[in-house]
Amino acid sequence: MHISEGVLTAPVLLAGGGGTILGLAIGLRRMDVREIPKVALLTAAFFVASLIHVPIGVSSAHLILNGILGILLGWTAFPVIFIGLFFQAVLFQFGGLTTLGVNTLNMAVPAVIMGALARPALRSNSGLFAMVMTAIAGAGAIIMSAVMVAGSLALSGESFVAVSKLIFVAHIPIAIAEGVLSVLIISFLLKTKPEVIEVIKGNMHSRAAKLGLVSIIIIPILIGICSQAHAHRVNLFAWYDGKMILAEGYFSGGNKAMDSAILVFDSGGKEVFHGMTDKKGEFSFKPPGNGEYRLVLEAGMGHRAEALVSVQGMESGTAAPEAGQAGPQTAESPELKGDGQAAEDAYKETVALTSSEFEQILDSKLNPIKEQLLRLAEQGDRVGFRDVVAGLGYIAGLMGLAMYLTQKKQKK
Amino acid sequence: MTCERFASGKSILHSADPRVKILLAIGYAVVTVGLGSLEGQVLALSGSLLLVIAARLSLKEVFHRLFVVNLFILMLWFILPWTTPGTGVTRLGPIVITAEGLDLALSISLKCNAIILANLALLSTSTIFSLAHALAHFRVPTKMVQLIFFSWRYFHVIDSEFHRMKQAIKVRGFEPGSNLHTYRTYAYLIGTLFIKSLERGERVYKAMLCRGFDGTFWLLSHFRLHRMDICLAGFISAYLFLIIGVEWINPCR
Amino acid sequence: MSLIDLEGISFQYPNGNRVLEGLSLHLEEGDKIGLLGENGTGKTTLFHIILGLLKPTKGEITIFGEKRETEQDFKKIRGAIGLLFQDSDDQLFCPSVIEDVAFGPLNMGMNHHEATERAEQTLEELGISRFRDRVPYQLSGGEKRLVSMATILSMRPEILLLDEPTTGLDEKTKERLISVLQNYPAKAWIIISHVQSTIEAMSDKYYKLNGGRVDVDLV
Repeated sequence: MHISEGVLTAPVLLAGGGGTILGLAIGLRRMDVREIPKVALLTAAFFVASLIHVPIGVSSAHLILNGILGILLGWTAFPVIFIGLFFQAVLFQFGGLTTLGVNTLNMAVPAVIMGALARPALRSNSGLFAMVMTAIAGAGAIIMSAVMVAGSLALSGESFVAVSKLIFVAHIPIAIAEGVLSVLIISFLLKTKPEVIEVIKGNMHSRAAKLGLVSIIIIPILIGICSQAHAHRVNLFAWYDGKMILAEGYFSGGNKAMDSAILVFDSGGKEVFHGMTDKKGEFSFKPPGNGEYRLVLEAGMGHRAEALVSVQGMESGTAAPEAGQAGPQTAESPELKGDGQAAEDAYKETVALTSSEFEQILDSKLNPIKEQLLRLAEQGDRVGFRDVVAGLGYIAGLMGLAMYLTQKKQKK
Repeated sequence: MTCERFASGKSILHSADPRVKILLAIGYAVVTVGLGSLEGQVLALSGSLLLVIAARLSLKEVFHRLFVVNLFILMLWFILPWTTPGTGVTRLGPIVITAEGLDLALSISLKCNAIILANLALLSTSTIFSLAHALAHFRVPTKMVQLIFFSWRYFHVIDSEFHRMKQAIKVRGFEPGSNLHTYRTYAYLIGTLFIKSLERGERVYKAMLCRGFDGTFWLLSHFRLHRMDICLAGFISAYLFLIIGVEWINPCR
Repeated sequence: MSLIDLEGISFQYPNGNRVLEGLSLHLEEGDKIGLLGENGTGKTTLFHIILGLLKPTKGEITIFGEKRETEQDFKKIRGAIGLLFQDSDDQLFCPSVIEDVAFGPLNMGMNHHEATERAEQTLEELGISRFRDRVPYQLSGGEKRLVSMATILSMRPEILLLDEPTTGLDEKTKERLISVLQNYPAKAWIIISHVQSTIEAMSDKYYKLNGGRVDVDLV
């Protein structure tokens, strides 16, 4: 579950790096010097075990085992996973240097959290409870990692949303396999050498468990916000010009939504028309009568936008300005229609301009502004969210640095 | 298992100071990751190709490595062109291929391969031991450096132990498949491996104590900066600045 | 009938270490071969080649009258040739002795019940039924060796390849192991050992590995 070099954007990489430094600082601090040989040998063992390919259905996958790592090592899972990924990056060119932080964080955070959840259960007397929690930890760690990998990709750009969904789905069978393996491994260890479970001490306490629970709640919310932000990435502008309903579809950044399906529903919810936008992302259609129409643009991959247009005075005559009354829901619409219409009326009294000529002029003046506004709104939204992520990373990184420095002081 | 396949060699890059190489590798990766223009990305890729040639690595081996890594990139080529919103260039049935999607896939391919090749030439030409040694000079916490040292030292021991165990189950007729028997067998193997590793860890620690280990990590040999290292650093940094300049002239796509 | 025929076997490790050079060896029914040789002369390598764990760089392997080349060819014979590893810890990996002994029979396609029965029967033949539910990893060195012998014999192999079966065992356990082997109806076996008494007790032919080749009846 590595993300390769060159895919993620700088804020995501920074946030990942910062979080990993923090995790490493906690992990190293809690590890006693006397435990180094044991932890190192376990690191080697995990590295060897992660090279095994386990058959899953018709395919096979190599093991990650971060749930077990969390159970056995707690916070020490951070340095262990970091070293494993460092080896893979230098030896096999899997993952990479710039992504080392993100990749470590994506595997180690679930390890720590799931370990914190399963450890108390393993200390309890109920064997069944212990095994159920182990299964949850083993499978849950993979699911959580997959969500985090998907999230890191999705945060790097909406283009990766589909890829991240695919990655998430691909990890479900792996999660099940790891859940089963975790139960078998832990019950083996309990049978042969129970003290192994507690072998690396000083790592898991209720504080960590609480932190874990908080993260479990926060992460899906973050991902939710993220996917929410992406759901509105296509925009539809629609208005009625007196004869036709006109519509334009835009993606974020101002690109036209070409060749996308448009469905038109009347106020009763009945589909009255369906068609496609043209190469300019434009669409027009003659409404059958007065009333409210709902236009739905389907631009594929979950990109969907809606707009409402009200049509009045269809039969009242040929004079378009008086007849046209539109109420699109998008922000730009009052500017386009309301003001436009007032201006149009004013012009009509003074200059003899046909309405279509006027529309052209207005369009040419307003379109760039419209696009600019849209771009601004979109970018503001996107940068804002990513800045939060990057900011969190910086904070985490600074905290890690501070911990590292205080650790040095303590030694002296 | 021969892992450090590129670490032995006699090129300039093999003999360079690992500290310099780590800094250069990080610099190369950071600059490349931020590149937005096609010109900059192509320059970065050609630069790292030159580095690989300078390191006199077996090109066959290098391309084999690249192939494996590029499987992920290949997946992106199948997905990104039709999931990236933008101006369509062509359509295949119901899906529209966008120019932006193709650009993105191309830029990721160039950047990813550029960084990987640079890492191959700069980092994989050192042994893990000398890299860990160099990290110690960068004031990476001693615990971290020791962990890297020990886990690499015993990785081979544990790997061959695991290999023998796998052979032992093979001669007893084991064949992996998607069933509980396989999963149980692997779980037992991994569990046994953990116990063996932990016990060896305990023994290693005892043996270290017997030789007076008190938590201090002594560095015996120290790196020396040679004139060649400074030349290498100067050359690569200049190239990186060239890339940054090209990037600056060519606005982001 | 010849059980195993090795013709002109050469083997070189990827690191360049050449251990076998044009080796030929024939194992007939009733043969009890003692294989001698200094450390690093390729005795263990030879066993691994017979079972297809290592592929020879040169040479031909014929087992049970059929030429063996691919992994598929070797899979068919692994149940019939039992290999006892030098280090029992390489062989034992289950959380209980009974599971470890039943592992081979399960791989041969027996169901859970049959495999357990076979395992129990084998433990009884070796007189170690009391270990049934012990954790293999917690057994003593001698006990481990007997259990790993049981994990091999539970598959009812026709040929035994024994890699240092008695090294590191006390006199009593050594005698016990030898008597177990002598009572087992094997068609033939090859023993690697540095222990003179074991070789003498268990083999009637002595081969010595020397410079990658076999010198017959040298001892």
